[in-house]
Amino acid sequence: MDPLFIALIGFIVMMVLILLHVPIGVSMALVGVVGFAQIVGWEPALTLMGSEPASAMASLDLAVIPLFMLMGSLAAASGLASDVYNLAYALIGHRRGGIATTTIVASGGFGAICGSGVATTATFGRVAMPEMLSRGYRSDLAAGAVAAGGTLGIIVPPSGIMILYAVLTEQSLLDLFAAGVVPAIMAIAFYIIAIRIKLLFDPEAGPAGEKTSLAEKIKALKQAWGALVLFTVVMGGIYSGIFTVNEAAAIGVVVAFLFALLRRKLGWQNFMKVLAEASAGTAMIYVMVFGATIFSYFMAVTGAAAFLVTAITSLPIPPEAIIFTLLILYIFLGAFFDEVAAMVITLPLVVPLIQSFGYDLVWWGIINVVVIGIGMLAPPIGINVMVLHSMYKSLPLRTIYRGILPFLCAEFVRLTLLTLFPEITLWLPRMLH
Amino acid sequence: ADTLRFSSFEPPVALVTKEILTPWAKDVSAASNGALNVQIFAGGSLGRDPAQQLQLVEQGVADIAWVIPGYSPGRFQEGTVAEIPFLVPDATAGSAAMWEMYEKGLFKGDFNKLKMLGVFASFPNFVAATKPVSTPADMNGLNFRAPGPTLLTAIKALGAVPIGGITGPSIADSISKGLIAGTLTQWGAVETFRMADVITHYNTVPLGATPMLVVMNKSKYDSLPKEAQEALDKFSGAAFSERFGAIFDKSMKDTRERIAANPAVTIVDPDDKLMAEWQNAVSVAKTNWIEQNPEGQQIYDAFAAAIAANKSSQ
Amino acid sequence: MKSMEARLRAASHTLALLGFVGLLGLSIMISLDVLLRWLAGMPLQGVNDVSAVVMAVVISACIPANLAMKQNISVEVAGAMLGGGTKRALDTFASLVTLVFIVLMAWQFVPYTMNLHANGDRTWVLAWPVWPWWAVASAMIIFAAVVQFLVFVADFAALIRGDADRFDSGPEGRDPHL
Ligand code: NA
Ligand code: NA
Repeated sequence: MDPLFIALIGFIVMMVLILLHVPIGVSMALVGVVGFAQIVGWEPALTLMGSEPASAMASLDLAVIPLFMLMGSLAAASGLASDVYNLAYALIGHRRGGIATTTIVASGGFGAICGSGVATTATFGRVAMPEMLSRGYRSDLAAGAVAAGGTLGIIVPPSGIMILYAVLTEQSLLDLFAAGVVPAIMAIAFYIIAIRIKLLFDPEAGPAGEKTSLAEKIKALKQAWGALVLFTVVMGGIYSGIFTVNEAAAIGVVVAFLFALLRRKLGWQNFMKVLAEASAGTAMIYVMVFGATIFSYFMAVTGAAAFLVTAITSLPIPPEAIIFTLLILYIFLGAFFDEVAAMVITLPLVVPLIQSFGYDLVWWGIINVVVIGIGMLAPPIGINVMVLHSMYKSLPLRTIYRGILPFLCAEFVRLTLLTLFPEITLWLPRMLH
Repeated sequence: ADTLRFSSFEPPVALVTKEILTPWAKDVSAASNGALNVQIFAGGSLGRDPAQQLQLVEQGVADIAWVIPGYSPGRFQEGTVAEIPFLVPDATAGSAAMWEMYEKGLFKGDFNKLKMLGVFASFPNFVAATKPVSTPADMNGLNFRAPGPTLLTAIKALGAVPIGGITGPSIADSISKGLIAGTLTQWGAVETFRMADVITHYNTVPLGATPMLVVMNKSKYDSLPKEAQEALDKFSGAAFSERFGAIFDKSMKDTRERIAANPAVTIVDPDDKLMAEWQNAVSVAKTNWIEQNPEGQQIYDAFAAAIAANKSSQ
Repeated sequence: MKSMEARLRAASHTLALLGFVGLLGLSIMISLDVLLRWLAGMPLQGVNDVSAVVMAVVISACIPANLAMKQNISVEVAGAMLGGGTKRALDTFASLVTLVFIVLMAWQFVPYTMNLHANGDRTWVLAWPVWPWWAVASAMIIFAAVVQFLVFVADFAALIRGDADRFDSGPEGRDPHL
């Protein structure tokens, strides 16, 4: 049988398995092994089920994922998120829509010490949502700000998605984090603008908070020192070149652990909960990496990636058009598929294509993060919306989605700008070199 | 035509894969009159882990692979003779001598379990650091990375602290963070792994080459038609060593010129007196190697003689 | 049957927790290394050696709990649209396929570890033998296969009996966004 035909069948079978509820990593691994066997033989193909998981498990590059997960969980457990929120409130809460803006800024700040979008959403669902509702915020604006703020967990480095992408495409994680900084600042700014615009149409949606005195501001600042120290140590250490990323993550774990202990936030029960949370997320990512690696070897050995690149690049279409088609495809796939899964599944085919156009893979990684962020908000299954809905069952999904609309528009504007002008993304990592 | 899968963990644009392995694969395919199609799977597309390349061939995932034996300690033990400091002067003499040793049956063990297409030695590794390192004493107390476990001996002998587990792509990062003060390496790797931005001091004292192999699955080779085997044989062995050595050394020369053009960079080429000082400081690496290997003295002498013969024939 | 599954689930949970206690220990060691490098200019030897082998055990320790709690990323639109019985059938099918996956993995980890033993693979700097760590990892994967077998049996029983949703970890439980 023609290897290309085997590749096509493999891809289809994998999609079918995924639609039949089989976990994505499992589908990719099994189809990868069976497909590989058709070309290379069963014995070598089966060894992939040992060697590939083993090299992923011992990889020091991937080790950053569990470390950042643990750091984020410990930071949330020790109440650092509330501190960041209170500080942001003291500074900007008194303006119209101030608490919504506070939520965005605080989510961004917390995103700088937590790599997960869902954890950020859940954290501020607890911290910020009751504040807004009790001060007469319209529930759609409140929910929209929390859910959109949640995406900053992955948009602001450190970001679990960036780590996953860096490992799967063998890009420098440091470059990816650096590339994420300017787009992250843009995201926060655009979200704030989205709130202002929403208030133009609907001034009663977000009343102003009380003004805080200077003394209260200083108090909030003092209280937030824990978060500031963690942020400075981890991100400052990475960008200033004092630690490697692995070291920064490990030190972050220790610092967050010490805070949790010192603040007596870490009872035995709570400690167990934090560990369980971080370990569950970790195993999930590793299973996906096992599958993605094995599947990518299958795609390589069939020559499908090379074939696709030749076929597409020989079309009389400019690369920009193909890039935008890909983005639309991802967002469309995201309607019934998970965006992270869509990224992982298509990487072995898309990465060679992006490279053949001469684009930087670091840039493409950031674009992927934006698309995944949109997927976290967009109907029918925006995971952030689901998380919020599960916390506030009385809040109808329709209301949350209505609240998200302005933020979603902001994200589309940002995606377009970042796609058209790669320099915005690549400027900082180049400067650091 | 039989398709042979040739695995390289290096990206397709890196020196050995682009300039040596890919043209070799093309030449073999062309010479086989359509009996063979040697396909390069670069960038680890059949297996990302450099340490796993040997297993890829043994398990039949790939038919041919470029293997750095240093990643599988103990497997190609005799071949590590090339890692002894002050033996290999360049890749041309080193690779020719390596093949001669293999052909004469002096390399045993795992060398016989696989079909050897090429047995090479790299350009010798030397000192690349962020601080001036002119005499052996300058190495004392510095954290140093070795490109393979066996080069650790030389580092320890110099009183430096060996740091392991730093892969190529993270060397530059580790140097700029002060995790290591430098590494033993050669010019090509300095560029490939972007060390040129962070390293300021080089000392070209030859502290041992890196053995490299191109191996093929034996039963796969035996299963091929005669025409295909002949095409492989034609470009393998001594001819492959010659190709490897010439291109490797040429690239070393070009790369060195590019790096030396940077005014911030100092390159020390030690004179005879300084060379003797270094040789004395690391002599324990040689004595240890001879002691720790059965027939160590015999292999050492034969390799030194082969190097001398190939040096003078240039 | 039910209590057996519950007990194994508890055991998986404990394993994962132990794994992450190990990760905490590793973080402390790395931090110490950085501190010593900074303050005393004398780093610990072989930190990367230890990290690689400990990570293998940490990650493998998380896998049984991951399977017991069904926390792998999957797309469950079909079940949600088609409802009760079909959803249970799909879940049972997915459990079976996952069982095949983890059994293959367990099966291949044994020769992988034996190979490391036979070749005498050691870590670079400290020259620790590598295989004992992988033997522990293999044991965890084999345990994960047992756990998954019971998950499949329980799913199958629920399918036959027509139970209501056996297990729902909620949106956070299946967070693919790290
Ligand atoms: Na983040
Ligand atoms: Na979505």
